[in-house]
Amino acid sequence: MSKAPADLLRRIAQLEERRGLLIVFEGPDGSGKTTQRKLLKSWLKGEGHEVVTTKWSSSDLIKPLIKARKQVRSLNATEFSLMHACDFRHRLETEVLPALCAGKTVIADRYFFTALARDVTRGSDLNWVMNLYSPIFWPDAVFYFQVSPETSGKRIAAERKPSYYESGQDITHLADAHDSYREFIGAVLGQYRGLASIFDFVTVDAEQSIYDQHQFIRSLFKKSARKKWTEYNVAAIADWLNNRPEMRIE
Amino acid sequence: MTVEKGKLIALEGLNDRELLREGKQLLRARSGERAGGVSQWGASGLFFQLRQSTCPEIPSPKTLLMLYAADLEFRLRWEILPLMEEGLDVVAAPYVETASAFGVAAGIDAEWVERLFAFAPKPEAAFRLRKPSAESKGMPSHCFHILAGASGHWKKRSGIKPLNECLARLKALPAGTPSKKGK
Repeated sequence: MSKAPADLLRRIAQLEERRGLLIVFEGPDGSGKTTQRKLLKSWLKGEGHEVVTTKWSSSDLIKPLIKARKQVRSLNATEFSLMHACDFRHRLETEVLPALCAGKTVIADRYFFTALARDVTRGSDLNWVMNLYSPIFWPDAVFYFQVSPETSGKRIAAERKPSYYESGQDITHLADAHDSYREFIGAVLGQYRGLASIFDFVTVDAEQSIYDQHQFIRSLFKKSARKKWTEYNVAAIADWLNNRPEMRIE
Repeated sequence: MTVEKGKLIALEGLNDRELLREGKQLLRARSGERAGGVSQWGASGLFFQLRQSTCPEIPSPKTLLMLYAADLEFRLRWEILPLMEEGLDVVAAPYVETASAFGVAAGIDAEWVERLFAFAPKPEAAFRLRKPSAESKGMPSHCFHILAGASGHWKKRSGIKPLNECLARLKALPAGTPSKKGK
């Protein structure tokens, strides 16, 4: 149970009143997340929502640092985890939370579950990775796009050659990127299966038609309940407000 | 024949120049022929690149600490551990304590900070710079400088003085360069 001071809880309750929803799309590459994200965004806009999208490893500040190191393949598992956690935190603090507090709906194309699945596959300790993302800011809903490793591999192969880190060549040490991807994604999906049951994801059958998936997401979005910030996200918001005095008082 | 592993010595403080000078002295005094080198913050180039950014939003203390940690992992991989494997001693200046003290001074939970640096091996011995009050007047290590006043961000956002707080926390460590060789 939260031991947060009463004024903090009051402030969080104030922010809660007009906040937007945070919807997360999770799943491996080639599972159709991006397509569904765009469809949901268009539909939500039509319904009158103001929608913001945030993508994995996309912050203006940290993305160039990661990109430069990926190009020269210099990241080991620990650095990989830390750099992605930096990018996530920076986006959470400067994009996601301000947008939510302004009443916008945020669709996150991947969330910290991606790090848990990938980093643990790379050999990082689960509790250490969890700590990087703590205190965790819980989204309102997580849609997990479930797909077989074969389908994911085929879809990726049809489009492009996966990059060195995307294909997990840093840990499989296989010369062929597609072979490596198939091996790596199998292990990542194993991690995702565990996460889906622990964190109660809404599973979307990503082998279904694009239309059916979209209808399913729409229907669940309509039914989805908000996660009360005063119950789930007190520590994460307190952490954020600590560096945002302008947000502390209304 | 197996080579005996070198030792890792931490020297904590905020001033780059002081850390390098005292780090070299510390290495001479303690290690003699086994002196490997002094490893400093920023070897990965992360902070240099960060300062080139035109992004208007600067990183929060927690994000910065994770960047320090990434930089430290780089130093361990490419500077510190290879020399130790060769049987040479290395002074890490600064190492974990400076960043931890800075994090706690910035209001970050001490346990979170401790868990963050769990990957870093424990040093054989840890010291701090001899003149903490004088060094704070100098140019602090540029990774700390980002938060400590270059942009006015820190003062604006928190109203406390993290450098002085940080130095106060480091006072728990023994000061200065030991005059005798060995421990």
